[in-house]
Amino acid sequence: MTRIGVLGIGNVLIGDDAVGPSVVNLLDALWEFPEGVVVDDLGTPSLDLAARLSDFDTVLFVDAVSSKAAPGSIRVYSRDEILKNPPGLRLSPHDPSLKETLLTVDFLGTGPKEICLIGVVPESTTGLGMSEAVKDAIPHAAQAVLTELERLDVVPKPRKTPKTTKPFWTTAAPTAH
Amino acid sequence: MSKRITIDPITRIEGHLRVDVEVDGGNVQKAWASSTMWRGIEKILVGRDPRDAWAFTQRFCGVCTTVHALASVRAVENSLQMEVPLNAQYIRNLIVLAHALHDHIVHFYQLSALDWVDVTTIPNADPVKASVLAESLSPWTGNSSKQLQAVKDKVIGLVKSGQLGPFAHGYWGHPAMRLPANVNLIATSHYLQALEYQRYALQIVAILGGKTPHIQNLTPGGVANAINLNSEATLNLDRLYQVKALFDKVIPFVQQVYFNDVCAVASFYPEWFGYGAGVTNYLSVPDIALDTKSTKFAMPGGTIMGGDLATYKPITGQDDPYFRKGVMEDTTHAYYKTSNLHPFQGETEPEFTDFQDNGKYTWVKGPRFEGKPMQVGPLANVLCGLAAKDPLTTKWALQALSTVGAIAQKKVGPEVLHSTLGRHAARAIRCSVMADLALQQWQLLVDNITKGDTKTFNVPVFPKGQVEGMGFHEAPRGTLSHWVVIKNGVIENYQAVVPTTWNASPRDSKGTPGPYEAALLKNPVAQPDHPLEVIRTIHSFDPCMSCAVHTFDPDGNEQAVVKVL
Repeated sequence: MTRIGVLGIGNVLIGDDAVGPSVVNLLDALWEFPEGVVVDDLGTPSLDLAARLSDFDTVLFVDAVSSKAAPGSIRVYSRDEILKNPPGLRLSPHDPSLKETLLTVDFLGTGPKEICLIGVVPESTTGLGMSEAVKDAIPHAAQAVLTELERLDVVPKPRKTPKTTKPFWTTAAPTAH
Repeated sequence: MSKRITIDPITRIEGHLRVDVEVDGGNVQKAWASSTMWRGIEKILVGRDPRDAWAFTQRFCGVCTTVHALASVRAVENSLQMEVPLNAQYIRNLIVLAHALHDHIVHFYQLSALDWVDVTTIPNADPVKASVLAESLSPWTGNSSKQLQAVKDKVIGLVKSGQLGPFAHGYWGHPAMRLPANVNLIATSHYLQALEYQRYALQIVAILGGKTPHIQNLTPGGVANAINLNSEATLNLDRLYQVKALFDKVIPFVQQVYFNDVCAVASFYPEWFGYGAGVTNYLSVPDIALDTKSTKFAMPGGTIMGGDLATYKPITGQDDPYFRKGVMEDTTHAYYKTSNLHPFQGETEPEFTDFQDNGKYTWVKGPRFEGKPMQVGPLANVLCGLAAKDPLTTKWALQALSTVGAIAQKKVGPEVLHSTLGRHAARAIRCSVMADLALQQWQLLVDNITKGDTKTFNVPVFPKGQVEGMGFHEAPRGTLSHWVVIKNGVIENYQAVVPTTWNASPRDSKGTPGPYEAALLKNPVAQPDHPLEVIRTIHSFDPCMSCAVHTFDPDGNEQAVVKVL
């Protein structure tokens, strides 16, 4: 059985950097995935990511990516694009760890064979709360993940009772000051 | 003529620390540690339910999630003077210990070993001789010549490909790199094994915490783990023995591999016991709580002033006024409105200027203890343990000094610990102590459960009016404290004083530099465009800027930029 990880990366407290965790939260809320598929919010794992990658044959990352495209745009990168682009391209705010981690697990020979990054271009990266453009992009990014999964012959089932689509970081402080 | 070197950012992880040094005559004459982004995360918590705070604080930083969650629930419990059931204390302690073992292994191998180990010499190594050497130093079974040959072959493949893969960032061939090829081979082999063993420690956190990196089981008043030895769905004997089996794998790696590697590296670079002392006032808080009121601890903490262990003054617990009243944050040189306040009154009002050598130059506030800068981290923790005559700390510290002395063939005393290498040695000592404590805590938990105690949670009750609480934790990078003011059951103010703000703190109102800045003075710099020596001293503190300033750089600086002016 192919082990597939759908891993959301990003800091949920820093504006649009919350998009990776928010996309995997939405996927997990609405869909039931077959055995062998793990959908998880990893936050900003940095080099701890290496320890997680050996669990999988294929990994789909969801993350904010720095790009000149309009906020909310979705960009999909292959493994070669992640690793071969010169560092100046700035694929992701977490790029040093993502790139270095991939090279490390490659060297160990334990890493996933197939990797894909579904990136969402952020607008604001300060303060709690995502921009409207990025909030609107969340279902589209989730769809992009489902499309990649379909290519891998993974067919999730809609949950009979969906979980909450509002993770804790999207709740406003109840008492305004 | 002096040269100015700017290194930005300096951590190999998501780092946003910038270091500026002025070098003259091959030595650092002046240094500035600064951070380049602000986030103001504490404001996010104002107006929220204190029972939810830990879920937010554990997202402050991606590397130290667990420690911020724990400090937060302790702060809320402290504000209510709550007791925490014994089982909950032990379960939290096991999570803390497993997390620390993981963190220290990663810090040494993945974040700083390559400051000392030159991978590119490995093609000249002799795996048979390296194996004999490694086996003479340690009973570890993973040092066979066959294993070392395999690592050598991999590195040769990498060097031939012209791309150094994960090692591309190192200062290879630098004159300050001095380990023999065989030692470089052993260390690199352990670098690779470390990736496997740190994983077992994370699995412990996942079993007890429900999930990692973001544990799910904390709550003010205890833990959410249900205990029933006969139930599949709860913390039962099967899960407890899984935890034990994982510790039994990780602990030999800590005590036979990591510990010995630090001693071996240290013995080849003895001059680095002479650099990097900096601020020798040390602060550490007690941890690994042993009673429901959190008044007894397995690890002592306190203060030491001017490097003199005789000045040791213990901190007895979270209610000890010596710690509670001693802390303030100086913002004279930080990009905030100047407000030298106690954390309960703490403000986070930005006032950005350019980088001004003699003015404001960083987003890191300057915590001070009774007006003095303090070094925090494993070195502070180990020195306080020695001063308090803690048996485990004494045992492992003496073993470290005798191992270094035996390899270097000279007598080495505890005074060498006030240094760049001393911080690495102290981290290995502390990690070995914590490995011993993990087995003790596991036994305490099992004994308590088998006695029939299954309580894990007390219900918090918030009074009308205002209460204040402080929760501390001796985290892998040092003393962490969360300070909360709660009014009518709602958070009124929240401040986190994190280890890296103590160590990366800027100059204060008296002009006294912080620990990083002071430690860099007199550091040698052989090649200004390759300031490896500066990086060695900074990495020895285990910087974690993403939580120190709670920051994120939208431009995603991808590698250390070194500018020499």
